[in-house]
Amino acid sequence: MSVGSSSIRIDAHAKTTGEAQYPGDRAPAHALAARVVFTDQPHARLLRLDVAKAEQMPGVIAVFTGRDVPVNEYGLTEFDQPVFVSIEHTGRTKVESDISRWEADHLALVVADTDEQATAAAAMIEADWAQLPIVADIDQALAPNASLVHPELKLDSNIYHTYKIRKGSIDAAWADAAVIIETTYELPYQEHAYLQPEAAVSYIDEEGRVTLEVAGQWAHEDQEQIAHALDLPVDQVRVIYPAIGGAFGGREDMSLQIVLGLAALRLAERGEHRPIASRWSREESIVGHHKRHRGRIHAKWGADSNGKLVAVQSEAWLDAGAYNYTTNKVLGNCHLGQAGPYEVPNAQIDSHAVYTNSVPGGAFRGFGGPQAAFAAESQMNKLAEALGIDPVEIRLRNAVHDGSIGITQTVMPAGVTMLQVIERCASESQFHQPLTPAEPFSPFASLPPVEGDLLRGRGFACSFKNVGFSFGFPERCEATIVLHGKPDSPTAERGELFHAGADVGQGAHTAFLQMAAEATGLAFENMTGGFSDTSSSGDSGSASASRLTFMSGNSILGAAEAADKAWRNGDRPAVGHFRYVPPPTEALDPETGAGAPNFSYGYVAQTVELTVDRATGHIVVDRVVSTHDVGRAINPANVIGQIEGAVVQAHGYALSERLQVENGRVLNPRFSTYLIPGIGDVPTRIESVVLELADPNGPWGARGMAEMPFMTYAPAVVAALHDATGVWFDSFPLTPDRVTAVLAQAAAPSSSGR
Amino acid sequence: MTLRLPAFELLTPQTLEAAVAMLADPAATIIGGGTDLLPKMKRRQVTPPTVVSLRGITEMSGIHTDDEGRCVIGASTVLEQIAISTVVPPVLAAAARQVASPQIRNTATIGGNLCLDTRCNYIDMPELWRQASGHCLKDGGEVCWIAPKGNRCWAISSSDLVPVAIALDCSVRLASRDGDRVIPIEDLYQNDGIAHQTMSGDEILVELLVPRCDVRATYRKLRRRDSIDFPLVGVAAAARFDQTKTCTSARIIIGAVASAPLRATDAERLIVGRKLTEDVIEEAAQLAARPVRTQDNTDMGSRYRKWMTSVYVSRALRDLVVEDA
Repeated sequence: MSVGSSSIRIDAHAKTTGEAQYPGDRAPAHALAARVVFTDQPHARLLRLDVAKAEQMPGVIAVFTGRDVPVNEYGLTEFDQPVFVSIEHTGRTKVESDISRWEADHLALVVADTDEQATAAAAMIEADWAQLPIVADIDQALAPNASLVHPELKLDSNIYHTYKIRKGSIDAAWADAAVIIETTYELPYQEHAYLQPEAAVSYIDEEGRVTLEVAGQWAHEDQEQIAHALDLPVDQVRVIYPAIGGAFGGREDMSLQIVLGLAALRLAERGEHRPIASRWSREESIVGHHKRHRGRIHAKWGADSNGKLVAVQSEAWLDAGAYNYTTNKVLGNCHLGQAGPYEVPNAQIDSHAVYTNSVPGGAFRGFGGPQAAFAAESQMNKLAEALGIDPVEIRLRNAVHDGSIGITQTVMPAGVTMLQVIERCASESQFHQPLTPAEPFSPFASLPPVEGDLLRGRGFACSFKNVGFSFGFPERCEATIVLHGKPDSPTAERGELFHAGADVGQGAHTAFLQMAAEATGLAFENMTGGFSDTSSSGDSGSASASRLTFMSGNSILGAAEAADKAWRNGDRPAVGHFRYVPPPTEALDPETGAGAPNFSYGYVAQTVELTVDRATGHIVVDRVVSTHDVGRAINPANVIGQIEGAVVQAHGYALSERLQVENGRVLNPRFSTYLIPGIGDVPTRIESVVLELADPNGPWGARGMAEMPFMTYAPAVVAALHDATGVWFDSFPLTPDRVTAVLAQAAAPSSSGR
Repeated sequence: MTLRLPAFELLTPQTLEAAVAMLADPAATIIGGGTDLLPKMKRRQVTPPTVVSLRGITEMSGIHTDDEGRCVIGASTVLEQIAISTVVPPVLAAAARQVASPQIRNTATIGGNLCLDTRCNYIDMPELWRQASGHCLKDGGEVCWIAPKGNRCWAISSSDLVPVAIALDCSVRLASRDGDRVIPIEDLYQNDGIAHQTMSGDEILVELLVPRCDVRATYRKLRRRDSIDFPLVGVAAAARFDQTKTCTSARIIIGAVASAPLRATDAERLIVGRKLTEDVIEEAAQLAARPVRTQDNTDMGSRYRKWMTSVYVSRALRDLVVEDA
């Protein structure tokens, strides 16, 4: 059996020894160096741009600006961003090119013999700007008479996208509520902090294609965006992903792809054929790519005396920053999550995307779900407290199950296992046993035990997350399997899988080969792969939305069947190609939100135990029990790796990561001031509990799982902190200064206690 | 663009005499483990044309006990060696264990830690960022962006070992072409973010001299992350007690709240002649924090760090309480 075994990852040796080649390693010695010049203007109109002096600098090959771009616009879901901010352009663009709306908008690309020369030349670019009012945050964006970030949209505010849900009647329902909880939650940014900063190499390949070796999440989408801006047929662009140093949603959008593709195209026209390489510093990476959305959710929930929900009213605002990126999609996910994984008879939910001049918000593990889950699960825990009902019990009374009508007024996709996951998490974590006293912190802890100041607490949260693209977006995934062997043999000797799906570090390619081996009956060792090259693979869709195992597995099953048929027809080699299309989804009704937005979900519940030092506000998470229905663990070791990795990432989100953005500028674009957890800071114990309750449409029953462990962590930590201190925290990260300040405020005589 | 080192000439003297001679060149800078200097060079905070490595001077590395019973720690000794040493006072080893991360402790030297440059959110940024925001006082500019109305630099002294070394009343040996001198380590520092050390540019810190340790001593470090971080507040305390558990001498040193380690002399005076009861400890902690003027120039706000100063002084003093047998 290949499926279900923890096969050693096919990239393990190369990555352990350092042989693996990431995009930054792909630049040959003779490559030219390119440097992207940011505008450094959160909101300003370009009055003059002069690159003549830069072009005269030693070693400079070319300076590219907006006038060189055939179609000066791009964007993953909407073309709302210029490739370069520029006065001169070809006219084939809908956005106003001469306005910088973000400090990291691109102004020029300098290509030189060396990086030092490119950097020196970049400093010689002259630009004059007329400052425009900076819309710094949601409050400023929503203020009366606020400056508009995108006036070309002809909207009357910076809110440019809104989803609604109108289900039943909340007005009538409040009367049935024994308890109503109303809270405003403030949600912070998060930086992806992947290991490998943005890097790429571009050249014209032997077939004349503009070729990019770069790290991304969806090679064919990168290809399309490059082709659009360069005005090339799609098949004249080739995208190859070498090893990818983490992504987490942060590589869904363009960084170096278009500008380096442009350089390869234009330099080839001039007879210059050296490859062009560029690499961002960590500072450039943090300033220059999108973040998990900051936002605000105002939630009002009512439950009857038995703890059954009677109504949910909720309104969310996500800071989209200067450009849409995937905000409209992220917002949709945040929208659906605000009622939690619960049966809610009456609901009114409004979710808004808001343009500002801050760093764009975009895809990040959970895709809007964690923000919603923080509000929903905190609301549920507060209701449980107010009603005197156990937090597990109140969830069991409300959670969705097979046949439940979801918040969008349609039946949940079959295979709803929320109840089983909640129950299993409660039992595995001994949630109903007394909590043991505080143990000393780790031997290297900065805060040795001071008994009187240590408090322990335990919290619970559960959630769900869709698998795959939502809201009617055309979802598909292609695979090709080639079987080799003797003409007279009934079985193949070896097989090849061609698949574009991105292995961003999660182990996708190993799982693909396991599934391909299983589907063809070949041994894992006899299956090899050709991955992530648009010239050899069909479109796989993105490595995101917890979809890749589900979608690629189904495409591999189909390709194996087709290859087997070809084999039995006598083809040698036998080639099978398959394009999997999952059950269709629907866009939501614009007024009521009715519709079937998703085809599959993964379910999660977590128990968190922590110790807090009430004098310093320092928190140590002692134990996390993270419980998941993954449908089928194709590679159990990698599933546990995803759970532990997501918990650690969520730990940073909940406790330490504080991106400071003021007036459109990131103030701490460095890992010495933007603090991700180190090995001494992560939870002392993470227990991964893996359930395998098959999804009816999943390959071998598998569901997506990689985002789910992130969903519940912050609200579970806050619930545990409340259990320890008696105080609710409605904003995070729970940095020591915030914890001590909120505790002091709660202890002050004038405080209402919450 | 990635941050790369500027060009420099590397000198590798094999003797202290040779090193001292090389340092007569005012353009020369000492490098120990390089964990402080090299990042600053990459950020172009300093661009010394000549860098003198002390690594080849074997006599400057290692720990031994001298004729007077003092523990002598060569300046080139790496912090990990101190962290695992059974010869140095346990409090010094414990403080060394709390510096940065294992990788840095295996590279960074005690000499470098005792000479650690002061830190600040403004100065410790890449060159482009500093150009854009305007150079600060420490960076050759006209104004301190932390306290623009003043005329001094508020960058922070962030060594973990210096407060402990002062608490233990250590000395340092400094060498120059004019010969050696030994001074109390306390006299090596002054509360100015730019001129934070009193030694002159042509002197080399050769060794740390730790007197025979007959005090109860502790070091308490507050930081965000246990894995790696400079102190937000570091408190070293050392005291002697008589048979009635009355304190007969005391030193309380607060690190990371000023441009030099601060001695809490009022608190020291309070506890000498008293027993360390909870009331005395609390009063001492309040006294110790009173003169602290933290600025918003590192992680966490100034209010929090001042508040935590009293919490950490009280925790340090509680460590010194002599338990009943």
